[in-house]
Formats: sequence, C-alpha cells, structure tokens
Amino acid sequence: MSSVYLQRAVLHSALADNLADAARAVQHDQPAHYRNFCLHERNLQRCYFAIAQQQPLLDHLQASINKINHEQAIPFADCLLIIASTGLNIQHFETLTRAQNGFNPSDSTPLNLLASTLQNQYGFSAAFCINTACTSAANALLYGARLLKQQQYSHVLVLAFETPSEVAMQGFGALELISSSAQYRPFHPLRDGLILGESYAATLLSTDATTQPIARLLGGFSACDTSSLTGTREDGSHIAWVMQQALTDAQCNRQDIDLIKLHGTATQANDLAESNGMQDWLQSDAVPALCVMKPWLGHTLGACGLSETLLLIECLKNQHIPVMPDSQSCSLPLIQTPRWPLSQTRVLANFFGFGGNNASIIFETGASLCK
Amino acid sequence: MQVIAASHISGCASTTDKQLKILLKTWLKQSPRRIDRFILQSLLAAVAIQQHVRADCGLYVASAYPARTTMASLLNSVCAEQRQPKPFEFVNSVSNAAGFHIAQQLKLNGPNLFISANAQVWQQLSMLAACDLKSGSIQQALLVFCDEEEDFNAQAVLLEDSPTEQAATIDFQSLCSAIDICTYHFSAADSAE
Repeated sequence: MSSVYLQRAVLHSALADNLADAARAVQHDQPAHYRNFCLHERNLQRCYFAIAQQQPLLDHLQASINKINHEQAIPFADCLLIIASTGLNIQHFETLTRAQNGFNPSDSTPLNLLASTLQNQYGFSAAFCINTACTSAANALLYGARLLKQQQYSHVLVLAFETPSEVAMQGFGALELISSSAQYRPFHPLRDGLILGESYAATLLSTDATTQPIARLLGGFSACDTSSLTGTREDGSHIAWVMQQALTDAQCNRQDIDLIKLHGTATQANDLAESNGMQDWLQSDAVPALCVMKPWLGHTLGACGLSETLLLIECLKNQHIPVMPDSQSCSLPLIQTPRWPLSQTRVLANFFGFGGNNASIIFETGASLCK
Repeated sequence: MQVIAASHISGCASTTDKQLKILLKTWLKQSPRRIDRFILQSLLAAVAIQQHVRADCGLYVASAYPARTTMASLLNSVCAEQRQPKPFEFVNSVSNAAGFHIAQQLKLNGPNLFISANAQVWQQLSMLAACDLKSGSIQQALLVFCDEEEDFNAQAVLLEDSPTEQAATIDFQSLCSAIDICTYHFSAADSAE
C-alpha cells in the first residue's frame, strides 16, 4: 500500500507568523505572545496565547491555502479540503451577540459554511469539516490519509484552526480547567490547568514522495471512550489500547518509536490518565523519549493535532526538542536535553478530547523519506 | 456496502423535548441526563435500530447546524449577559457530544466522527465509513444525519462491508431502497395534546 506524505506546511501561532520562526522561538526560549482575559462573575484574570496581529478568519484561511499553493501548486480539482476546528466561525456569532445584545437561533449559519466558501473560491473537489473536539485535526490527518490510500482523491488539504473564542475561554473557565498561575506545566506536580492558544495550520497530503515531503504518515487509530464525556478512563487503559492499535495500523512495534509526543493538557485528570496509560510501555525494554508541545503553543483544541505535529516536525528538522523547565519533577520522564541526535525520527503523537475521542498518529521525519 | 437497517425520526418545530424523551424512554432502559435537543434527536435515530448494532461498529455523525438552542444559550450567557456558561451546556456544545451518547448507549468501541453536512452528506459519511470497513478495523458502520430547520429529521443507516461497488451518488433514500425503514413522525397534533 502506498505511503502518505505531509508535503507542505503552514503554521501561524502565538509563537510566530510562520513555522520556521516558531521553531526558532522554541529553540531560543522566546515565549508565545499572550493576553489576559477575565473570567465572568469570578473576576479572575487568566492567560491566553494569542496571535499579536488580529486578522479576519477568512483572511487567515486564505493566506494558509495561498502559501501552500505558492510552494507547490495544489491540484484543486482533485483535492479534498478537510477543515478541523471546534469553534469554526464562533467569533462571528460572539460579535453578533454582543452587537444585538442577544443571539437568535435563526442567526446560525451552516457548519459547512467556511468549507463550502473555500471550496467555491478555489475549486476543491469536495470539502467538509471534522469536529471531534481536540482530536479534530488528528482525525483529519488520519482520515485524509486513508482516503488517499483508497485513491478517492490525489491530494487532501488539511486546514486546522482555533480562534480566540470567548465561549471557549469562559467554558473551560467554568469547568475550572484553565491555569491560574499562567504557567503551562503538563505532568508537573504543580500543574494547575491549561492555557488556550490561537493557531492556523495547514498541510497538503499526498502519496507523492518526489517533492521533498516534510514527514511520512505511517498510520494511527482513533476511537471513542464512552466512560465520560469530558475525560478518558483514569486508569489509562483506553489510551494504552488506542496507542497499541495505532502501532498495529502503522505496522510498527514499540521498538520502532523514537519519540512520543504526549497530549499533556496539564489538567489533573488528563495527565493522570495519560501517565497511567504510559506505564506499561515505560516498564518495557523499549522506552522512547517523551515530549510535550502545549507549553509553547497553548492548547489549540481542534487544531492541536496539526499545529503541534507541524511544530514538532520543524523542531526535529533542527535536531531540537522543546524541553519544559523543571521537567525532572514530572510524573512522566519527559526529555531533559534539547539536542536531538537522530536525523530520522519515528514519532507517536497522542491527542485526546471531549466526547471520549482518543487518537494516536504515527509519523516519520527525516532525510530518507523519499526512499 | 450492504445496508442492514435504517431509521427516520421526524417532527416539527413544536415537538417538545419532553415528547422526544418519552419516545427515547420506550427504547432505552436508562436515558442519559442533561442532553440537548440535537443529542436527543440523534440518539432517537440511532437507538431505533439498536437491536442490529454490534460493538465492533464505527459511528459517523453529521449535521448541517450546531445544536442551536445550546449555542444560543451559551452565546447569550457569555456574550450578552457576561455570565459563565453552565458546564453541561458548554460540554454539550462540542459537536461530537451526540456521538458520545450514541456510542455509550449502544456500547460501541469503534471510531466516532462528526462532520459538517452538505449536499453530499451521505456520500461523505459512507466514504469515511468505507475507510474503516475496508481496513477491517470495524465490521459495521452506523451513519447518522440530524438536521433541524423548522421541522427536524434524524436519520440513521447501519452498514456492513460487502464487495458491492459504491454508487456515485448516494442519498438516504437510495441507500435504503432495499430495506424497510423504521420511521416515527411527531405530528403537530401530537404537540397540541
């Protein structure tokens, strides 16, 4: 069966307006741009990793597509567009509600509005949105790759984004999941929750290996844990099962994995479940390096499956791994040295979300991708 | 792909959530609590054919709109009234919440996707399901489409893999042409009672 490659990539995040600069910012310990917001009723300040320069959503999305198309002409007529986002154009409705001091359900617009707008503008063969909470982009990559392998399309463009939504900020605040210290410390004993982040990411998938792809997607797995709508089983058994199924799908075994990118939200429940889910692997004779990405990007929700993947790929290209301060105190043995020795790296990346969605994807970066 | 079972639950804008819950209770021993109208409608379509569904089933849900009443309540709380949202409303607002409740009630352990619906919704749901059926990771696929403008329609189709070639154009009627559809319609008269 043919391989699927990530051909080109774009990332605009609170770290930088492009992927290369974002990786450099991580390497030089430059923090993400942020702003504070106030939790309603409780009058508490919380931090949000926001892009400095505000821009309309459609401009962001068009800029992402145009950048990819500039580097490698997208055959739009045979290309599927998959949008991955939890909020989509929620900011439009937030603005509308503030302006008219209330929201009328009839003001809703179709969930497919952005996808169909971009489909009509560029001539994509088909377009739809995947919304599976924080696994949205991971599922977009996974199912985009599967559709390519079935030769449904020649290319798939995955566009993943999350805007600074007030509903998301207040909603996670109401669930008491947002950090009060403004320090993003997954798996750390002093962790106190997540920091949300804004990002716009895109990648072009195809089976063509001749255009110097940035990574090869080997496979993955996604399934629903029905124990709780807001979290996975605390014992980590579903997470461990999903990782194992991902290995099987990618025709890998544990020894083949060099690095695991943990989901690591820094919430009490998620980190505990992921720690427990990792224990069997950590007690085996094939212990890979472990890393997290959210302390640098924030939790970019539905986009994290792509924004974290792209930033990690760029860091690995520079033979660098983001290292969290005081990582030696964490409940999982996170990597502590930023220098990454491998020129070719096989990564398993975890993404978990509300709605019981757990997903793991496996990809490979490095010089010999075209072989 | 072979269609095993299908359902179509429909009603009008005046159909109350209470009416939906009463029907749900006839099909489920224990109904989930604190679920919104969109989740109720989607659940009804799925549990109407639950006797045919096995655990090794993937779930593929689509809708043209978000859960409108939930979104309206959230937006009004946060943006108009400057209040914190109710946690259960915020959690229900994730589009895959309906899929979670269907998977939980039907004890499904396969994939659980939610996509935005357009004119090709059944084709796209079938295409995603075919990925997993052909890989052998699941043996059945449950497709659910729920839509509410004035009236609402919640439709479900249960598929199994077969060597049959997929038709170029797929809609609910053509998918279900060879089987009896389990239907239930809430009329305006029901609401007036």
